[in-house]
Amino acid sequence: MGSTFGGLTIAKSGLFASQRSLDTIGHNISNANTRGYTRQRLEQSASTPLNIPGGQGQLGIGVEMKQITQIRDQMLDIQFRAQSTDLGMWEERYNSLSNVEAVFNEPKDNGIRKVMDTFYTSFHDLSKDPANPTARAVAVQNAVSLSQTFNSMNEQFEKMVSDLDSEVTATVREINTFAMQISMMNKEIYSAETSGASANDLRDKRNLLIYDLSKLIDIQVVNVTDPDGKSAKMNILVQGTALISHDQTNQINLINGQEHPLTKDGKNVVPPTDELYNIKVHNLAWSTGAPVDQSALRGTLGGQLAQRDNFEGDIKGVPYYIRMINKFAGEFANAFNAVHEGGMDLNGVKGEKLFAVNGDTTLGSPINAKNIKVNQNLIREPGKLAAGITSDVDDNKNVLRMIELRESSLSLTISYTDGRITELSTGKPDDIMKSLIGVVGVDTQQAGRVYNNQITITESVNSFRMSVSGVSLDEEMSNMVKYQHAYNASARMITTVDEMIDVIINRMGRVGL
Amino acid sequence: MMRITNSMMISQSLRNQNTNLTNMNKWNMDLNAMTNLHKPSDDPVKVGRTLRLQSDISLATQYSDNLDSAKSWLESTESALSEVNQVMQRIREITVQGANGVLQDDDKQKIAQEISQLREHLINTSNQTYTGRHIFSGYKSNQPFANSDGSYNENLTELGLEFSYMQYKVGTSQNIDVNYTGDRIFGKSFGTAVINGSRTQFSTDAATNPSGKSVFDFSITIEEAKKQLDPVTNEPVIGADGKPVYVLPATAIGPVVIDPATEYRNGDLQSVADDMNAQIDVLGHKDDLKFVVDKDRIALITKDLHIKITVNEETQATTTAADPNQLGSIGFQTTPATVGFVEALQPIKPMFDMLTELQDKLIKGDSEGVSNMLDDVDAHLQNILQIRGELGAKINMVDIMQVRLDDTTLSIKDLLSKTRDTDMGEAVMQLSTAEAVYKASLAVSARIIQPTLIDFLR
Repeated sequence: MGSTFGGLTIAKSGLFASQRSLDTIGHNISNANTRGYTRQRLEQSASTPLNIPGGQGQLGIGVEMKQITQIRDQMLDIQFRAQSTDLGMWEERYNSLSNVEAVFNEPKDNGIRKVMDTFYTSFHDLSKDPANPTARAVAVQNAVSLSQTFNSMNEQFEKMVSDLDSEVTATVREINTFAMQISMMNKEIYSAETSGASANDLRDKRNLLIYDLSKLIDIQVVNVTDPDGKSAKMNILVQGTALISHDQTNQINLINGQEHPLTKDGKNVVPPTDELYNIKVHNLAWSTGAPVDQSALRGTLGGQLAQRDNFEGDIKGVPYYIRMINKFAGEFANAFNAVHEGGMDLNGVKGEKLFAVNGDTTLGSPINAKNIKVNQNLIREPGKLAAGITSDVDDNKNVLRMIELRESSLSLTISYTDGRITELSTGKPDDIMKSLIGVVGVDTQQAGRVYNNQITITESVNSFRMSVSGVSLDEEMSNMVKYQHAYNASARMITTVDEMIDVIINRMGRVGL
Repeated sequence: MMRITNSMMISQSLRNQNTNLTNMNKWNMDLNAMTNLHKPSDDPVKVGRTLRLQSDISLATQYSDNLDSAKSWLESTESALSEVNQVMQRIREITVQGANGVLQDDDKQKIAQEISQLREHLINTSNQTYTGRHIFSGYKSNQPFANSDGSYNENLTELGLEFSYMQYKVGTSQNIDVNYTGDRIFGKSFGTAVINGSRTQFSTDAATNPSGKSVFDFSITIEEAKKQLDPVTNEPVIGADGKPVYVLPATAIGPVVIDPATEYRNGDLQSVADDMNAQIDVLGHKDDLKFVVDKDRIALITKDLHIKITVNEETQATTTAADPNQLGSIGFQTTPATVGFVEALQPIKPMFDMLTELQDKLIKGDSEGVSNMLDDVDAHLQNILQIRGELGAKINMVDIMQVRLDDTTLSIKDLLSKTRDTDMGEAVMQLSTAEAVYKASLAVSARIIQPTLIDFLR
């Protein structure tokens, strides 16, 4: 036996459900272009029916609104984060290598090759008129411009290292800020969800933060469900250590003025003995004091660290190039010095060094790209250029020997603190430089290729994600029409019940009145 | 079926447009810069080749430039030689006249006078300059070759002019000697014996040479000393064998020990040379004999002495058998080998001295003597012709090399162009294709993005 007003309640439930669905659709449409927004849907089900006694079945009593849920695929989120980590890393690597490439400035008309060609050319001219003061001055000047090219390359590379270091600093600060924000979101979400409801929009915001964080560093998201099974606490791990444990953060600290760590393919290695690595950088540690294995990090931060620290291996960072040009400049200078010292200037004085540390022959430390300068005495008096093996004006023998150095092989070796000695490169000076440019070319090409691939992969995972979670206006419109009709129909239902009640209350029993 | 959302479509068409634009930009850049290599990563192999080819072109240009300079030198030498040749021809003509016994003394005087003038001319020619440099003075081109009296500039001859060959680099391993030193053209006033050595020739093999020292050991023997001069004519006495007779007994000096473990530079062996010169001094031949050591040669320059240089090759047996401390001493000379033998006087008399002699004989009216000297004049003519022949061949070679170098440069430039230059036709076509694709993608996006269900709901 149904109640008089039961129909109204049923219609009302439909009316309210449709209204809430329409609200949800409105929310979806409003947020169609909100970054990180996941479409929502009102879950509804038929209310628990009333049993009609006498085995006449059950009577439906309308619709029940369950909850507003997000439509998302957790797997895609995880994939997306992993891909963004790689994207961040390769983006950083590609950008940094492009900068290295720009330092070499090849194949342009004013790159290192041109400078070296000009240097030899002036020695050729000198060989034809070795006593000519102009030819001497030009030769010395071209030696100066060669050494300045080395200086400026070194300076640019070292600047790249310090720039990368400040990028590392900025990235770590960003990571810490994200960690702080996420931990705050965790707290909010947890308290919002204690009742068992899902805090959809807060979760969206948190997901966006996690996504941004995943581009910077490789993270692992772990959800720990509370014993009551209703709510969960989120932890985010980096290298197995919690960066965020629910509402607490374990920040990454920057330690200032540290020795430059040298790595190879993501592993710390024995450093070389040269004094190249006087560059001071920031190293990372957990706020608890525990060390961060920074050579194994990935993401933007990992890319920055690898470019800053990698000095050998498959993935070469800026230190590799610094070391190569340092060794090259040193060996090149030594070869020229040896020949030059074997000659004699116009006054019958034995040749001094052509290149010296900061142009001062009294400074003994090895010549590298940073300190290579033409001997000051030669700049002041180009007459001291030892063109011959005698002091005779037209003796060009020593100039010829210097020119011939172009065809003789240099060997670049490096010794390590553990006593190991490795040969970096052997060949004619031109060939060594060319192969170095080849290395940066191949590396940049490869980094560019992987970076582009990574963009495509990330985009396609994102497409899948958007396919599931994105707002489709067409769909929302259809649903809008659907729920509008349902709303109208429910309203109509109320009108009908109303009319029915009107009949019962106002018209019934009035026969004869 | 995959669910398509609006933002998905928009981001995808944005990405595609970006790809198309990147493509268009590449062709645009290729056309603007006229090269398809902008940075090493564009094509590392091609960039490497470009660098090598550019260096090759720069080198070839330099070599071509050096060849031009070499040719100028050689041509200026050739013009001086042609002058010397003409003068010598004239000298020969008048010498033949002067040798005629029926000629009046008066005429002989005139001939003698002409010879004196021609000699002056030759001395001037021997001091010819090219861009302010004396072409026959070797390395010391700031000094004249001959003094005005016809004697050679002492400064030049002291170290041996024959080492003063100036070389220009005209190929990776090709050097060309551009100068001829005066002694080759006008005759030597000194004899020189040379042992050319380089460190690579020294044995550093521990088995044969455990000490690593004294592998290059030589001594100098003055085989025959001063020439005996005729007290009346003051001319060298010629012995039965046709050679001058020497009076002093033979003396040995040396040895010089050169340690192969040391890399010698110019001047390092000065003390060795001083030592030897001191010995020469003791022997009383200081003015006649000079001993010179530098990095890759040991030379003896002699004016009046007849000397022999012997090199001793030491074996392990002799080194160990005797006192090792005396390594390289004269006592170890087990198997002497003669490497240089110098006669003080060359078969060809120095030109200016010869002309003075000729002049004297003409003045004295010694027709027979003059006649005998025709051989000397002929020897000089022969020598000059020979050198001119050599010079002509060298100039020819320079020309040929120049042509070959031009050809090579052209083909390198061609290759460089093929390696890095933009193929205009292709680039323009590709650019228009890329442009068309880009425009199409824009049009398609405009149509796809716009309509939604909203447009059709009323």
